Amino acid sequence: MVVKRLLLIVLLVIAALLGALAWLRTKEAHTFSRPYRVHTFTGTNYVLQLTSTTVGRVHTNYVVILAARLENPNPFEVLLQRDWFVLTDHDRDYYLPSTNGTQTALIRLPPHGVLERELFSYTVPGDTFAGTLAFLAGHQYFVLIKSRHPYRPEMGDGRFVTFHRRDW
Amino acid sequence: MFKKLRNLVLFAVIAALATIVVYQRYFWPGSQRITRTVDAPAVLQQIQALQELATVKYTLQKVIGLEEEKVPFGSESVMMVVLAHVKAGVDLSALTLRDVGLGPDNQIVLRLPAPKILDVYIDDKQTKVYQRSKTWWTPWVPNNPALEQQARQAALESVQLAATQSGVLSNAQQNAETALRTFLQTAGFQSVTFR
Repeated sequence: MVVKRLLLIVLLVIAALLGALAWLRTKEAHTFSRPYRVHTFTGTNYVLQLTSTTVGRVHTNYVVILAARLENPNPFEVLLQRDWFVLTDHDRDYYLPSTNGTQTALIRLPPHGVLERELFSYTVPGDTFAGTLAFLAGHQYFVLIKSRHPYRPEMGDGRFVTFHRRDW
Repeated sequence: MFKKLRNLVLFAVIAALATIVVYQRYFWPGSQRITRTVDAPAVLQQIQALQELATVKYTLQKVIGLEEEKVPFGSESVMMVVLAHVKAGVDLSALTLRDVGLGPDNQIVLRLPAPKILDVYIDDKQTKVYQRSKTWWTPWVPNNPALEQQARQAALESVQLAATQSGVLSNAQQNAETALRTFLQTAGFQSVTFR
């Protein structure tokens, strides 16, 4: 009887801990993907929302791929330069997104249109993950995408991991 | 009679010599004196017309593994074998007048723009999804339909980086110089120098 009760308590504690962890992680995911109302250098509004961060290793370098949702609330087309979306690390090193393949130098947002999945790719050295990483949204926001704790990706060449949170 | 014959022979010799001189002057291959006026803007326009000159193409195969952490728990992963092509070259439309120098005796000095990767694309026929899985204890978590697209983007970045580290840009530079040297020598320049 006592053993049964103890087992029940242990199970309840585990369930409560798992529930709390799930709540925290869901909250963290919501914080990560909160929308930002930003504007271009000429003052046009648009909405940016980060959806995921992908990190991977290629030879001796690392790749960071940010997926974002872009929304244009205006009745006219908005043109965004990909170079505006800069990644910066704890050392204040700045990285420009690559502009090859499907990633054109100019991002076109149609009137009242949405780009559900726009990708920004950056090639960074390994020491970039020693501290925080931030993404420059418009010219108003530095959106944190990584915690200040060092991250040592134990991954082989060509292995990538995707996060929907920033506490990694 | 003899005098008449001599005059005739003399006339024939003079006529033959005149014909040879005229032929050599106007019709003999290579004897024409070409007068060209070459100026830097004209040469620049000719080179700029070549636009983005792709001079090297690398084909690379990579295995890409992508794991996505799910919210709140679990993960989904995809493993792909990707074959991609990387084209590199120089953007000649970026040349300016300052990059073209003309010297005496048909000499030309060119400063080429830095080589760059012009295109990276995946060969869909040769690309396969090798494995796709999800943590068994999170059956309620929906599959991410964009995971493959994400893996392809990761593959593009990997391939581009791998090609750069393999020296695709220096190859592109060398090939661009060789191609332009041939092009300009065909156009009449005797000496083509790159700096």
